[in-house]
Amino acid sequence: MIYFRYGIPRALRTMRQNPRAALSSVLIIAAALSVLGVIVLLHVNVRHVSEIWLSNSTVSLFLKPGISGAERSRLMETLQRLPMVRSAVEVAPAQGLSALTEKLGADHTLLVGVGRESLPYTIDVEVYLDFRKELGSIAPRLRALPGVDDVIYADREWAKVALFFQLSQALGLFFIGLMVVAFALIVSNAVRLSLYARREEIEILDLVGATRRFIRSAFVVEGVVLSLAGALAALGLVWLAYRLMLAGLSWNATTRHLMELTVFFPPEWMAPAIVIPALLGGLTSRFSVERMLRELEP
Amino acid sequence: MIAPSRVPEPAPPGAPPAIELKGLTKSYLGMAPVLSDVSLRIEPGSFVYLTGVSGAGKTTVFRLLTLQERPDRGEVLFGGVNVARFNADQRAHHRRAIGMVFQDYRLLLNESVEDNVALPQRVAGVTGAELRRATRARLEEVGLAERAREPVLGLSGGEKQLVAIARALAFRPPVFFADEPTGNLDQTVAFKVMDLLKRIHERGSTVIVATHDLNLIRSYRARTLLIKERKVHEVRLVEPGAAGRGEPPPAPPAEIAAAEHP
Repeated sequence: MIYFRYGIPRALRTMRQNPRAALSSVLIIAAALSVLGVIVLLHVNVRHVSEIWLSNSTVSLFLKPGISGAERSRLMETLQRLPMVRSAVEVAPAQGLSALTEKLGADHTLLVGVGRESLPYTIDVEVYLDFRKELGSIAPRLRALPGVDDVIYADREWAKVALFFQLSQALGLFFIGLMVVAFALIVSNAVRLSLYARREEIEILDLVGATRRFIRSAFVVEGVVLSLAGALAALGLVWLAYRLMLAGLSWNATTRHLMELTVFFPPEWMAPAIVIPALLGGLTSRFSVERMLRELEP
Repeated sequence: MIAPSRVPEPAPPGAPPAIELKGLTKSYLGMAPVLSDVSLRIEPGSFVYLTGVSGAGKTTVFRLLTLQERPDRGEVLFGGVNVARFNADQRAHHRRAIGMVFQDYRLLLNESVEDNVALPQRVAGVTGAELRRATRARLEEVGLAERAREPVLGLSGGEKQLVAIARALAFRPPVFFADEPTGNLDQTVAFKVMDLLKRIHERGSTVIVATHDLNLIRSYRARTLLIKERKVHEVRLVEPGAAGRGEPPPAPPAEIAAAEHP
């Protein structure tokens, strides 16, 4: 009730009376949150790309040279009956060559002199994600099937990506934690500076019989409003930076692929991205006022 | 304006004093005490000066009485209740029952006159028409109703002190403290402020004024307490409440003169 009766009107009035102070506080908060936002966005994208990599569960079966059509059909039937196999697709040498040429892009000249007969028949087997971690034991079983010459899967790459994923997650979370602490300190300092400038006001409120709760109310609301504005500004700035980065990536054919992989914050993150800093701002204000009120204790 | 002058009725026999200090000792940062084992009774409805040379401890007594300081030892009793160890909430509610005026006014300079005067009641939860009516009435009491919407920043020192007095009158406080209320004012304005304090007293409030201005003490004669050498000494100029402004002042006792010219 105090918040509606006094806190909110008083906070809005103070900000109206001191627009420069309010603006500088919003800018400080926005700057801190923008840095935090960029780190979180980087974290989100590393996670996204890693997940794409980790979900790649395709195993390529290279078949023996000269394998007949009937043998290939029997092998396909065997594969499709296996519980871990989600799909199996036969790739003829001509298709394989064509896919390889496309994949190499500008470097396709490397394939000059390679005829379709140089490549074997292959079967691309996609295993269910649940079996992804067991590829090390599945691969020898597939290799033992009649007509299979060799089996290739991204085992080593998968392990590297998994390690990179875990490291980047830990590092990302560490920096996010660090930035949250930095944000709290920055907001706390901004609020404390503003409080010291208004120490007299707090003393007067104390002298005329205001309770601690009453005194806190306006400052808590001010902290929430300034942090809310800072969070909105930071979100806008991060979004702008993201769009600029996409525009930069789109100019180059090589980086265009990266552009397709990058993501912005999911929509369900937007509300917490604004509400959490606002609550943190309010809490920080509250602690700062409490501290000043303790200094006023007789 | 404030109700016509009258001398308040004496407190009924056996009633607790409005304020009582018992064995009060106060020191700062472990240094020699500013006040040592001070005891004092102030009866309801009395007008009392606290005087002494600069640094004697007037402001310390004022701060102890207004709960801005805690004594090292002793009790501060209001109507028989020891308030010296009140917690923050108790202190806040207690302060609503006392009026306070300061030498430096302690006003919100960027706020309007009416916002400053309304502050104690707003703090206590009074809102809307009731708040506006009460604020208006208090501004009329001090003669500033026409300037209600002006920012305090543009007022003269005397006007600021009148705003501070109007603010302190919020709940018709039974006890009214003023710390050097005329310290920053010229003589004419000082007398006007003192007139107002006297009227508050005549309306029934206990008024305690800390001042080193001997002219004021001479002009408005009342019970005078001299703070000297860490103790409070009673100095009787005339009987408390027996006179008013304009009567020929008696010769000051040596302690008062010493307080003025140490």
